[in-house]
Amino acid sequence: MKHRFKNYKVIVVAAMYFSCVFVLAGCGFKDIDKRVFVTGIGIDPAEKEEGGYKVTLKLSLPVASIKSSTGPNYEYLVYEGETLAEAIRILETHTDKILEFGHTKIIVINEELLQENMKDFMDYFVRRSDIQLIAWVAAAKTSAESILRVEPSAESAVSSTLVNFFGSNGTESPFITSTFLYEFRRDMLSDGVDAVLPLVEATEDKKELIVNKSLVVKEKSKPFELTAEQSKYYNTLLNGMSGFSYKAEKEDLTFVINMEKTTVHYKVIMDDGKPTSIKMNVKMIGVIGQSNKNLALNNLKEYDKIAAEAVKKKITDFLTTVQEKNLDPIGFGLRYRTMMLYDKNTISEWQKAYPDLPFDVSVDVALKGTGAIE
Amino acid sequence: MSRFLYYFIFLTMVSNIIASVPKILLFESKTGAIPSMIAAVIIGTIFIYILVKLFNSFPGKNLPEMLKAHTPKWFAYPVLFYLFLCWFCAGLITLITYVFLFITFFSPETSIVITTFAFVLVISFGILMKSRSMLYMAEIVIVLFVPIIFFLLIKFYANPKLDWDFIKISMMHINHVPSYWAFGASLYLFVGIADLVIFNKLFTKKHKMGWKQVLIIGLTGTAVLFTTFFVPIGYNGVEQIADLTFPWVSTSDSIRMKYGLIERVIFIFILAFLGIAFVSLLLHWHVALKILESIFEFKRLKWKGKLLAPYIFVILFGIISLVLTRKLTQYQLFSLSNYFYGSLPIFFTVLIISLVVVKRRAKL
Repeated sequence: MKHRFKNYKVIVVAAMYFSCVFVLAGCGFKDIDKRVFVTGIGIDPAEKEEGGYKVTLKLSLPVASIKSSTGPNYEYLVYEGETLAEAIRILETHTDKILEFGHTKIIVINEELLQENMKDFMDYFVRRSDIQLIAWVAAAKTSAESILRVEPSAESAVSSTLVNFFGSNGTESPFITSTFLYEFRRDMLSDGVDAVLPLVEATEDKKELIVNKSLVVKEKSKPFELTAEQSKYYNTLLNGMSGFSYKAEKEDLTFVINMEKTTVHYKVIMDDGKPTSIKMNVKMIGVIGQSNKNLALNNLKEYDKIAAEAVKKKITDFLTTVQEKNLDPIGFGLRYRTMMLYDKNTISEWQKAYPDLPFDVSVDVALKGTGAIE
Repeated sequence: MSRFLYYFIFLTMVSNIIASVPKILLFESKTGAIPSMIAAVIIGTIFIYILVKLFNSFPGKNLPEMLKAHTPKWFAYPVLFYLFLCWFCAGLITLITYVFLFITFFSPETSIVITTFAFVLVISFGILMKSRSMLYMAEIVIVLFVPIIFFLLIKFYANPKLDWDFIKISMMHINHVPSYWAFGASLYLFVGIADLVIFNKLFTKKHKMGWKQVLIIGLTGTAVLFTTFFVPIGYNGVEQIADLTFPWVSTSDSIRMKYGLIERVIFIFILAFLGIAFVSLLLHWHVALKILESIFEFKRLKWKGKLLAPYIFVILFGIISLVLTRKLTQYQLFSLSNYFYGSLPIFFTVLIISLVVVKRRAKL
């Protein structure tokens, strides 16, 4: 009798477990063939209506296997709407599958939009919890749609060229600025620092992409374009990117230095509770990459000096150029704010003082060698 | 001190990240969160010290037994009921916050009822376990998840994108009057020790409580609170930090593992804290259940020699949480947690007073 009762219990427990399976099936989970992955989002100003947006979604079409596919397969959905959310809602009806934003790796924004109401459309990306905060944000020259539509011939079947530019994923270069979505939001909304975005351009034949310039973005002002050279200084100073190369000249000697490591320290010098100057110490370690003359190893100290002098001039140039535009991509304002207890006037005092602050840059270059030949 | 006591303390400390503590603290980040955090660390550590010392006088006994034996009924039952409410709320807040977070970030398409039901089902089996098994389970979860959490911490702090300038700016807000709500929220980190109310029955030896133990607890509390408050600021800036609904989840989404199996740290984060939140929830509700059992002993409700009361209570817990997760809005949850954390100083006072009363009466 007892034995039979135990059997009965086992059956009940087993039945309960199996009935749970039916609950699981009701999770609303859709299979992968019912989903399509959005890998990039582009935003342009609307052409038809004032103040609207044109949204471009880059969809990656799944392939059966990497071997069988000849190249990447993309589809593009374009729609104009008054807001991003509305446009994307309509785009959901342009495809039979669910738009899956969890794999969106890049957000391309037309540079014309980066002047005002940036909060307006950035809000959508941050509010939507399935878009990664580690997606890259980039500005596009001429139009975001045309940038997304470029399919370079070097692109392989399962990777996206545009994404590989950033974060030293593929190529590593100090010319390329990489900005995460959360970073862009943080710097854009904070007082004392201005956000910097990479500027993506396409070649004339729309076959290749070029990323070597950057934009300093500030609410209610036209974005300021940093040239390739300036972007290089920005990335070296702020992110310590390696691969910085610099040409130094003195009299008839010309040589190019490849910097391997750069460390930067800066502080705001205060006098009497007011900022008086900005002091920046830069230390660089590198080797000589090219020279028009034979170099003597015992003269390295001298070359150090020539290089330091030249780099110093360039850095000061870069800092004063952005200062003239009243932009602060490095974040000196933030550093200033860390120096005193909170007061609501700190920011306005800084904004008043910053355009006239002198820079005191000291550069220390340590060359390790002259490369494989003297 | 028994290692299990450390588990109680540390589990609650770490699980605060999943509860609403960071949200409340960051909400007050410009109006006195920092001084309240400093105050909470000091007072919380003192509370832990006092509680352990008081429980040391009653090895092998739990609070309901002590109260019933030594105090009049009109005192014992209301106190027990109040303690039950607090523990139930602590668990409920963790559960609802976690369900909301799960729905927002993990599976937005699943209906909220099914998600809650799945959680409640597992928890119901958990809280019906024996107290001793709970301790071992806590140990296993700690062993499994602490390495992951340390790994995540290293990721958070070693990332060059963590901007210390923002953290320093927020530290400059120290010149404010402490805010009561932020104080309550930070005090939540130290509430774990109060699990002794029930679990003291299992500890028959006295706990050693010297300056070394106090130092360990105080320093860990400071470190956890520092991380809770400042890391989200370092990743999201000072000005707009209060806008984030789940500051810590958004922060964990800001980390990228370039060469990791999973690129987005957020998924590892949510799963690791799922374990921690579950155990802290189980401990809280286990205590709540035991207290409730001591208040309402339906001795007649028996089936085959087993008391039915605990099962009824567990079903009640489940129904309440199912209804509340459906009904509550995020704002209501936020204010509910705010009031609950705000009541924690009262909770500690009631607990200490009742223990002192019992101690005096027992000696008389």
